[in-house]
Amino acid sequence: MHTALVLLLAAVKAGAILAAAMTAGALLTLVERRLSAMIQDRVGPNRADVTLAGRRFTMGGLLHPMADGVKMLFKEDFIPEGANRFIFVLAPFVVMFFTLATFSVIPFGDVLDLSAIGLGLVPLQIADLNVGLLFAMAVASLAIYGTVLAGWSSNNKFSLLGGMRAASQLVAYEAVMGLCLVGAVMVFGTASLKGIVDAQAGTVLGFLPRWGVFVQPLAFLIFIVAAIAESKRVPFDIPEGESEIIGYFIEYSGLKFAMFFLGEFIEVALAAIMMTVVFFGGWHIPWVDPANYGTAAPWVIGIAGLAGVFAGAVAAWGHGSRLMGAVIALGGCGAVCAAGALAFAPLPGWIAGCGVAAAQVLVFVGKAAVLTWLQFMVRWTLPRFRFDQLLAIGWKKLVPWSLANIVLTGAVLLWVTS
Amino acid sequence: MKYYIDTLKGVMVTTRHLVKNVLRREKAGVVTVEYPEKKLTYRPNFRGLHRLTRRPDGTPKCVACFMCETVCPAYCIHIEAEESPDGRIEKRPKVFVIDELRCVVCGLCVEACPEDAIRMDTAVHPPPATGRDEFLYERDVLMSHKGAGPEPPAASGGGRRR
Repeated sequence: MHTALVLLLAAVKAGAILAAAMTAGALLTLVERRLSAMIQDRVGPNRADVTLAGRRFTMGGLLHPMADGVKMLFKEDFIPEGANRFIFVLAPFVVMFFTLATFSVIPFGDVLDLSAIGLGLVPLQIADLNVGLLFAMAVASLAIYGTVLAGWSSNNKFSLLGGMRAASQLVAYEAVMGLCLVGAVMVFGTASLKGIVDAQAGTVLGFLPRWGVFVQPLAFLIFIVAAIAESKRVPFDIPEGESEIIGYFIEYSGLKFAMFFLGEFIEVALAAIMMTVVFFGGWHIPWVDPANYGTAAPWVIGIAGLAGVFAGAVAAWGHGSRLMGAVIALGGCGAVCAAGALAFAPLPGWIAGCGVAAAQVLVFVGKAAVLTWLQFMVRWTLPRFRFDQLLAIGWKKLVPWSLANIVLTGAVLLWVTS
Repeated sequence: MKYYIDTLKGVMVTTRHLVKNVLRREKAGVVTVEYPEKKLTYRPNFRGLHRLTRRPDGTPKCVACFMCETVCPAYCIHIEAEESPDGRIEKRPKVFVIDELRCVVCGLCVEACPEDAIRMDTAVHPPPATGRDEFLYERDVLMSHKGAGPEPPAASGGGRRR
């Protein structure tokens, strides 16, 4: 295939994933606010509106991320006196860049066969590195430099202390994260994320999907704690502590602050995505043999469409957002129709293949959404840890557990293979 | 391990609230009143913006006795009296200004008034304004305010609502 075409495809994939990640981050800010409001018996943000033909449309608060973005854009971009200007400006970019760079090795779906229209085999992944897991870990830990640099370059002792807290916390949990993924790599026999997902097809013990969470349950329990700690959110938000203990981005304002904030939400999504890939079978449709994805895809798309219709009905009925409800419900109906066409109409093979790919991406996004939701629920349930508790959990509990997990996994693997 | 279970229990509690609020908001715990769209009605004895009541012929009931100005703890009422053309009434207010920014909404002026001439039964707040001067409410403005409750008997004196 032509080199330019390959580059173009890679650019299109990168652009799509970048756009999806940024949109997800922006939407998660709204989800966080609405979700916390619902949990705490409040209403949440629902005021940002557009007026069309004399009627106010708030779309259930869906315009708030946009309003926030505009607000952040026009805020004063403040650089404190005595700050190291270069590093001060660099720090939010470091956080954003390395958080987004991790997405480049995430497999969002299987290889899509588009050779019928001359595009060849298109993997739904920007780059399949054979050390993908290591790459993700390494790049995610480089993002820590952003927080430390931000704390140091602000010429503010409180932000410096926040940056130091961030460093010691993240180093502790980075170690935990790496160690508990070792077990997963041992079981799946590869560090390529695509390989890990491929290894999770099928079932164990006859009825459980062969997912990481079932073959490595201890590693999953450790990983979810470490992942929440890595995203620096409650109950591990000691580096920031917006409300009382001042954090590392205290001197940041405007769009630079927004980048830290957005980066944090993208990290949440990223943690959920990593969990999906390593522990929840990635894009695999549970209990369906990969050979039968062609017949399962209409079901997945149809169920997603029905869920969309239901969500639209709830949005329209429960929260007075008729327009958003109608839009979601229409999208759901469209998905149901697409599922019907996929199931019954004689379509060319590559369109059916696209349908399968869409189903895989839907399954992937659905799993990631559930895990993101779980992280949000934990964030709004637990109070903050004390710093010594946090380090004790990291070094004295989770590290020994993950070491024990490695030993246990090795022993079981030896026993099974011998 | 116990901590995971306890965390899950906590998540169940928050999820219960979440589901309840997503599915049926009216019956759930949300007590927020979405203000510009929905407004609570005040109790009848709510002390709102002042008004000056009128006689049937439209003139103010006020006889410029200075009781309210004297009793006002915030010194927010300013009255200048003039002779009334009506022979039975001695005085009437030429100037009657209430500084709504200084007013502490204690209602003592209403209590003190012997003529039922000043009331706080409008059930509205002073609207926002762009300058302090705009909060000086003149006599005619105060007379133009409408009471929210039923009009008491026109007879002067003793019309205090309780």
